[in-house]
Amino acid sequence: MPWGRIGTSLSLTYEYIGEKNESESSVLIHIQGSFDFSLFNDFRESYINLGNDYKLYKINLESVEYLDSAALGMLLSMRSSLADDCQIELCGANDFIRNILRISRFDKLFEIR
Amino acid sequence: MKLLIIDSQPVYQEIVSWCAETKGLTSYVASNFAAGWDAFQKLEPSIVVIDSIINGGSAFKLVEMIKVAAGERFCPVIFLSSNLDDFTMNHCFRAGGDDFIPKPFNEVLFNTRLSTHVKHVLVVEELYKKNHDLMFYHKKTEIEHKMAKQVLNHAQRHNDGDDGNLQVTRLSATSFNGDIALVKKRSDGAKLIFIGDFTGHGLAASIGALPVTQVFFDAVEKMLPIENILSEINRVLYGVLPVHMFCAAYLLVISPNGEVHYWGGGMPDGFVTNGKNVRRFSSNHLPLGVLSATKFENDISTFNVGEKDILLIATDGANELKNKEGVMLGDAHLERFFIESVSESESMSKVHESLIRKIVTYQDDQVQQDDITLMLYQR
Repeated sequence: MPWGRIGTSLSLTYEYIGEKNESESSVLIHIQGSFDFSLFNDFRESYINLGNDYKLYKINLESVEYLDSAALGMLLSMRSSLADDCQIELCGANDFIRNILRISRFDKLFEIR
Repeated sequence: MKLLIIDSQPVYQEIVSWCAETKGLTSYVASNFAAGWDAFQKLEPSIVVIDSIINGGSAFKLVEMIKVAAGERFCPVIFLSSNLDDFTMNHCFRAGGDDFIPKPFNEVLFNTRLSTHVKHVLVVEELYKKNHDLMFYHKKTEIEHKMAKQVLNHAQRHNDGDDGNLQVTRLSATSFNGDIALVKKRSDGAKLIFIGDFTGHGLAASIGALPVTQVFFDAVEKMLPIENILSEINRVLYGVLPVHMFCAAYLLVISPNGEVHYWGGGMPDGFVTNGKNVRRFSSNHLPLGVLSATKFENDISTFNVGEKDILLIATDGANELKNKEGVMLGDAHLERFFIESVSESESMSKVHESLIRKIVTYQDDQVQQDDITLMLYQR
């Protein structure tokens, strides 16, 4: 599986919904275009400094056209660095990406919506 | 940054020098052709300002020489001239001049132009530096890929070769990515096959391949159950690889009677066909190296390969192969290629040839981004 090609960091944005430590609060991460190795640092930055303040992370994949194994690795890194009671939802993936997530059995570690 | 002014008129030498110095440039003055050429070679200035008429030779000729001597190095030349006719201006630019300022000139105008050229020089220098760094890292990556490939080839040196029942092919991508195939016949006649696809740049593959190979060939010798082999490979990879790296894989034990026991994690579906009907088998687990030993599931599935059947496993490089339109092959397409190949061919090696021909035709000279490993088996 190859690492992705070099992309632009403009393809990832994130926002915090609600106040810290509230049950409804969440982190929303939007990714556009190619979800690949070029987003390695930006993706990590979106969740790494939040401590235990948020319990729900939604990753919006609606505008993602391609996702490679490096991206799967980045998701695994995220899963392992967040507390076990944090939920990570992968939302709106197209059929191609849904299939990659299926054959990788990522449904065992993430909520796929 | 150095600026060289070549002008036979002292007043302009002074104005240009003064403007340059106020911008923080170090200026050097030459009054004629010979001194100008000499100074350029010795000083390697970043910017040259030159009058179109100088003592001791042709300024156009000198600029041509300067541009040749500068070669790859970016060195803007600003012509000054009292002759404002098109012919002179054209001559200046044709000789290699980058700018033209008529004499007499206002120092504000000269300063503005000089600022622009200084900016250009800085941008180009930055570009050269980055390009140089990039070349360096590119070269380094290439060398590391070669190394990783060598490690991986070394790891696979104990493989059984292809025979009439089993054929493994790798179509290597332009850059090395990290597929691994291990094949060994056990003393009871069963074949043990490991088809793996590591994430990331071949580095993970070269780190992971050695322990995987070790465990694999030890297990063949000791006739270990495949559940144990899997747990052991997973344990080793979980320990040695960083969290974001893993190995998608199939591990199969095929008995001489066509009974297949297998485990699959993170791999595309495999196919079994007699040329008419097709059955798929899926990998039901997370890839190797993702889950800790306590969470890892090593349960095995079983199916049979009939006498007329051929089995195919392909790594995801096949599904994701793009044609000229940028459309990926996809597993439905690959399945169809495979069924067609089996129905058209009488022997496995012919199936193999036909399948590869179809894949290569689909690819149509496009760059292959990922390694493709194909494994075919018949009883």
